Amino acid sequence: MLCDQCKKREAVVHITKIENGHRAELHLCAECARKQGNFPDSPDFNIVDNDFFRKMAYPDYSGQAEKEPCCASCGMKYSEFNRLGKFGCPDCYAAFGTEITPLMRRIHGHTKHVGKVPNRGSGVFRTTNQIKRLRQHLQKLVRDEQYEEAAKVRDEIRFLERQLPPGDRTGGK
Amino acid sequence: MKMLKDLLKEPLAPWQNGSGDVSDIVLDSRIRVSRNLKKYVFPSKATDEELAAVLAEGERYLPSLNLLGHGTYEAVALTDLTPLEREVLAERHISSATQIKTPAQRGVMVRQDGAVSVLINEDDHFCIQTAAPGLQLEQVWDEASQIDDTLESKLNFAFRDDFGYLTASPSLTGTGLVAGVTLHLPGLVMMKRLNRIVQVITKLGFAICGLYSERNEYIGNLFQVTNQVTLGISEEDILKQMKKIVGQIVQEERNCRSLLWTHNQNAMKDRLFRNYGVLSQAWMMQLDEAVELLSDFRLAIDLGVIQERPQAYPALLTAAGPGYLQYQAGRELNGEELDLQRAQTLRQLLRTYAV
Repeated sequence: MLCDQCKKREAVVHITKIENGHRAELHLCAECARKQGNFPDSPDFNIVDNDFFRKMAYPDYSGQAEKEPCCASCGMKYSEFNRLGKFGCPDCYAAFGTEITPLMRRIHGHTKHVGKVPNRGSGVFRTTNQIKRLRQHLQKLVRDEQYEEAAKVRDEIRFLERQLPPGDRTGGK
Repeated sequence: MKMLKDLLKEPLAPWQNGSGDVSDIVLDSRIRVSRNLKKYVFPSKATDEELAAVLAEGERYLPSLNLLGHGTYEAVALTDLTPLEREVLAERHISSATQIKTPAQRGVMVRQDGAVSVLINEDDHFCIQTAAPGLQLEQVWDEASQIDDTLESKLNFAFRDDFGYLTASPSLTGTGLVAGVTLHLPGLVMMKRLNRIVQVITKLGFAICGLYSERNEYIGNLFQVTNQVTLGISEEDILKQMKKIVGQIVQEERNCRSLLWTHNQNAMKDRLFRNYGVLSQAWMMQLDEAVELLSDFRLAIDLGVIQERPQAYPALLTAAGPGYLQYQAGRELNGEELDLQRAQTLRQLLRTYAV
């Protein structure tokens, strides 16, 4: 089959486009394809894309971000994170803000942690975590039908909840 | 250091005592829990001083790990070990291939029975690794969680209410927990029933991969099932699901074995005895051959074809490893020397573990 454009060389690239339900086929030789930018050898076509993670999060994404987020604590740029697939420091999670939630959904299918919480920290954070821990413990006790112990834990949760400022009372749910 | 060296000398660590549920098919259960310090950048981005500070933070709390009462811990800096020692440490899963790549400012805290090690400055600041023989997922998690609690009572771990524990890789964010169960599945492989299992497991958010592979082929019928999801699911639920999946695989494996046994008893016996002969008589042996022969050796024990201690299997598997062989020899060995040493070591150990 000859190239659709130059009609001289053998066509080696075959493109099928479907637009508005209309199907169009295009057969090109290597040279014409390269001119069009549809040839696999052209430098901007890369299977292992540098924007792998961004594309995981936003399948529609193409091209560079307008202004690239950068982590103030460790200096990691979003593009660097994309390339390495690894964060630079704990603060990167906040620095790349809105990009992270969809990424987590793609990887894990969820965006909210429901497992173990540390018992440490300070102030409100500590109390909410303690409440979270106790709630997990309470569930286990109820499951094991240890109702006496469960009642004690429930009272403890209520006591801790009273110590939280009003806005944070739902914390740890 | 002496404790660690004693541990590495033996082909079986004290924890590998053959106990645990369904230990004829499940070799071991392992947990890895990743934790990071709030104030520090992750190891891949950290300077030498920062790495040294994290290493010191970890080692400072070694005494509180001893207080847990499950055994004495020893802290070892990777730079204090020879390259051969580091290699065998990774091979025995006390360290890891990733960690020994850059030994500077990296270290491990190992428990004397070898079942627990805390890797410092691998991908994350801390990685708590626990292992137990057979299917004992709750126990290994309890152990890891206790160590986590102990370290956490002294150190401030990076944690957010929404994303949970923050890790260098987004694939671990949340619980930071990866559980792995090692299975010996010769029946499923022989009956070609593994593909279907792989498909189902993948859909459930778990993965199964070969422990040894050669040219894209799994060898030795050894597989590891691991969880892929760490966010939005609790540790207990991960382990519960995993236990169910493993239980299912074990059941299928048993069915396959009994089918093979009832329909091909003589052919099976012939093959198992022949391979046992090669294993106990060969003068030179490559790793892939050893791993394959050992699989048949274990199956022969399980089916009662030969009378050997089941414990010989994990011992010989370790002993077949190039890291172990070179460590025993005390020097680097070339290909031929390695194959000679392997055959000789396996012959010797077969006698050691003979009933």
